[in-house]
Amino acid sequence: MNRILRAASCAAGLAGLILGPAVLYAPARGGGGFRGGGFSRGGGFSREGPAAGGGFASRSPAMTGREGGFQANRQQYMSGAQASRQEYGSKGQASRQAEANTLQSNREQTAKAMQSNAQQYRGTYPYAAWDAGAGVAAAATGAAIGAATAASITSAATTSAATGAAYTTAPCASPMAVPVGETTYYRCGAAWYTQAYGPAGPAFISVSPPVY
Amino acid sequence: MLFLRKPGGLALFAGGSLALAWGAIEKPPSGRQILMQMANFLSKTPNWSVTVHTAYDTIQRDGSKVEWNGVRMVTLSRPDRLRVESQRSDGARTLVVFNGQEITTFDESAKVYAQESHPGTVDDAVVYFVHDLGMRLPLALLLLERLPAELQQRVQGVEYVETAEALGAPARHIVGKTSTVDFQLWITVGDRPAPLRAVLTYKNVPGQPQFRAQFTDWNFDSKPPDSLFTFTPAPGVKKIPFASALAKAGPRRGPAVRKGGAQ
Repeated sequence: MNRILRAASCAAGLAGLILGPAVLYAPARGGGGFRGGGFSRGGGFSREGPAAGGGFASRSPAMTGREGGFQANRQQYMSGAQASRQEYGSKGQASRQAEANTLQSNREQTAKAMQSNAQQYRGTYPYAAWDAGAGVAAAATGAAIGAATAASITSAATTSAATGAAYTTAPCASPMAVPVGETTYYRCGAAWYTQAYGPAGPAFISVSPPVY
Repeated sequence: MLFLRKPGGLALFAGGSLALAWGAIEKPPSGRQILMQMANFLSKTPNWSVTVHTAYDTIQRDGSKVEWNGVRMVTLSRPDRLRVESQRSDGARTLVVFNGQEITTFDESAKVYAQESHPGTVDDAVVYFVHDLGMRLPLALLLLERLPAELQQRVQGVEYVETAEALGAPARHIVGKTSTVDFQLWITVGDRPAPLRAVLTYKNVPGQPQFRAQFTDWNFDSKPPDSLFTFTPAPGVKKIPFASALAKAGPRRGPAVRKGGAQ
């Protein structure tokens, strides 16, 4: 009996030794569970958000940082140029040409730095994350639509809506249609709208009055 | 355990274990390799069509998540034809069509369409539509001929998870990440590696919403007629500008407005 147990133990040990590495992979073979929504749809829920765009990128703090860097470079250049200009004014005619050359050189250097920053932001072609903004734009428009829907139609008709506000339906009960060229404007009291196609679909967007 | 009493039985057991172990410890395929095989296949296939059931989360003001669904029928004919028919969960139907010259988007319920001239390839049109016009075209990246280059540029890491058997066909499950999105793809095993499922997690967005897609009815052998990529507005359908174009144009000149009228 002992011999049997020893043989079994030996076989199990051998199998364990061989199967050992396979066990290391075992956790990776777990199921890929995912979260799902459980709400039923109803009024008042926003259907706009960054995930609606389905992009393989989204706006990140890193991108904002790059944009900030671009702006910072510009400000640095502006303040630098201002300082140079003041200094330039206090010097004599003889040194003006040299100062101008330095300023020109600084300007070119700054322009190159700004260009480099822009390229870094855009990536190779044509932008590093060209599909990142759709969700953000949709969210912005969606938020405007949501806010506008929540507001009363009467107030929209009697007050001047902020330019850019968007409505999924006509912004007042009987808007006056005013064709201007190929565009139709809609007037609700003092407010003007036109219909345009945005990321979340067609919407009436508050605009400045057309110029006559 | 009777067979272990004999040396032959032990040898058979050890041999079987070895065979099992050999299969189990075989090095899994590289996640990046699986991803790039799919990218190369999709980008080089001249014509394809697929139905995509989509879902995405939105984070509500109270922090809760709501899922929204839709279905899209995508037909692509390289180099310059694209048609995407969509239906939202509330029934709203829209269309995006590119014929090599113009890109058009149409809303059936509002009876309006917007159209911009943009001659070029599908790649050009898709980027113009999404980036410049600020429009929405989920999973637009998968439409591009330069998909492999885009993925090479964006993907920071990708790993193989397992071969999944629960999607109707064997599919390689991979997980990857870009600087802003974590993604999972299930890609069919075989000489036509196409995605069966995709999950994108916007990890830097509060609430980390997801976009999910289930791909069915892949067809790589169709030859869609040109008429499929032609948009002819029905009577009563009105052309409106893209919102982005409107913002650029600013106020427009026109005839004087009559004072009064219905308000």
